[in-house]
Amino acid sequence: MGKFFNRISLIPKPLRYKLMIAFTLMSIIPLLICVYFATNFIFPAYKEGFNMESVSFVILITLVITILGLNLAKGMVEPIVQMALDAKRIAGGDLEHAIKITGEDEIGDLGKSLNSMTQRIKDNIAELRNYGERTKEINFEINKKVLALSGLLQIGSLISTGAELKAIMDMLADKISHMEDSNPTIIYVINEDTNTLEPVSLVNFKNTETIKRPLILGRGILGTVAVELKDFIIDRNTAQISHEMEALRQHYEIKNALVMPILLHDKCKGVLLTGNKVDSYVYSKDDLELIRVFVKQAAIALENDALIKKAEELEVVDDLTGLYNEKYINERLEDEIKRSIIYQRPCSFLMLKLGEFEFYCSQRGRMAGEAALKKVAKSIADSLTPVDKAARFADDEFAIVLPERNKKEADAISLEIKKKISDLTVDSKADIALQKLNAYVGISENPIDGTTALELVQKARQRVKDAMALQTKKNA
Amino acid sequence: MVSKQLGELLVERKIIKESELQKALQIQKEKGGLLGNILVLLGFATEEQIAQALTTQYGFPYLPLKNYEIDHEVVKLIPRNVAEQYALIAIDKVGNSLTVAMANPLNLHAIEDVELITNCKVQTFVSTQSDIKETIKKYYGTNP
Repeated sequence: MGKFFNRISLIPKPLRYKLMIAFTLMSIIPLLICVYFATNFIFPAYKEGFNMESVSFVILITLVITILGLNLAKGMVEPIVQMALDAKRIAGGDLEHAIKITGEDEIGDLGKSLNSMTQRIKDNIAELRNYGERTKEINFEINKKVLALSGLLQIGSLISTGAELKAIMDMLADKISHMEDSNPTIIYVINEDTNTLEPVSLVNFKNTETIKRPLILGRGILGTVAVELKDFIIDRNTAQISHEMEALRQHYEIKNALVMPILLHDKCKGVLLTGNKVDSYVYSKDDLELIRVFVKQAAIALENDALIKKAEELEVVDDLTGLYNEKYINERLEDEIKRSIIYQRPCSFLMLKLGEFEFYCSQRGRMAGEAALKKVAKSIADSLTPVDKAARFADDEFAIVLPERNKKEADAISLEIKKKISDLTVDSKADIALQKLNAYVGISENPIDGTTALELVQKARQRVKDAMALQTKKNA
Repeated sequence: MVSKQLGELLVERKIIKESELQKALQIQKEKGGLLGNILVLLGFATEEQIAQALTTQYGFPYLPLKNYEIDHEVVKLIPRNVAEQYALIAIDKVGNSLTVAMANPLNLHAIEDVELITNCKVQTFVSTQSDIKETIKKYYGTNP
């Protein structure tokens, strides 16, 4: 009962008043009426014979009526009070709390309605939470893509600045690896001479020594991907882990793996492998597409590299001086020697090195040095006929092929060039020592000094060294 | 230039016809090679005829190498490369004078080179290309 009153005290005021009125109407007023009847009609009739039994009887009836009234009031009020408390609890945030339905009356209906309302709120909250999760996921995906995009831009700019293939591939592997949590990633490039896949870049592997070994084309999972040109995936969706897959997992120390061929004009140029150790992981379509963009970038880098190499092969001119380059002149010399042998003619080769060029550069700077080299190159070119070909080999090392000329003629030409160079004023500043450059010349001739370009180049170079040594000796 | 001179010389001396010379020049233009060799290959002239023509025109003495014994030491004065490329061979040395037999005595570059190598004044004899080749093989050995 005390509990009951406690509960009543929690009920809002208006209801408490109404309850008190109901309680009064049901218990106190009948009691008063009873007392009134008893004193006016029952007790006078027993005036003489007033005894304890009659009084007890009246008190008993009164008590019974009171208890009945109270019980009725309680039966009505308690569910309402309970519901009010429950509603308060639910409003306080305890959505898991369900209202207990006691009967099929209006209060029961109210309880049901409240319960279904609570359920709906609960559903809405769950949905909201879901939205939140999804938004988080989307944000994460967007973040990933933004990161990937910035990575792609970086790689693109690296490619366009003509960076080395290794540097580009390193960055590619790094970016793919960091699309998630530092996944082990490796890029292999096909070596067509040996028919192998050679690793160019690898990141986040522990045991790099075994992983650095080249793979054979057509063998193993990676070798097969390079031949069949199809993606290969090991993740939760893989139905059965074969022996080969397990070997791959152990070799790279990963659980899930994605292997993609690097395709260029439908031809495989290499293979990418990236993996992770996450349990029950699945490669999503988006992930695959994103990684594929990186792989395409790798293909572009490879093509670019091949084109640069091809261009270098085709390059015949030395950029600085406009003379030919070493590769071209070696080929020409070889050709001229062959021609000379057939036509029973001589062919001379002349090498020229500047004496104090390094000193000159150290004093006047690289720019001045290059300007001087240009002047020297012009002096050489001016001394030659159209059939002669001049090249710059190294910094200050020049070479000239003189077809149809024997040593005697080559000597005369070399004297002319040496004079022109020594007449050059390469530096206008007052320092006399730096105003002039000195040239040392070595001449070799086919057939006297050999029948191959290599022999002629070696002999001529040796003679330049000898001439320089002789000069040093003289100076000493 | 030498080829042209040689060709004209042979036509002048009626060893070959103008048409034959043109044909040989055409082949030289297409396939390359020395005119003398082409004329011999085509059968328009023999090596001996060419050597004789050079002898009479320029006054170089003709030397049939086949029956000629040469001092090995003299031969070795000229490196094999040079001898083979220019088709010449040293046959005698007297003091500062070196006698050289060559297929084309008009090849001044070759003479200058030999003089440079040997430090001698060169006297030239004419011989046929195949004779010189044979002799080179004989004296320098078959393996280059």
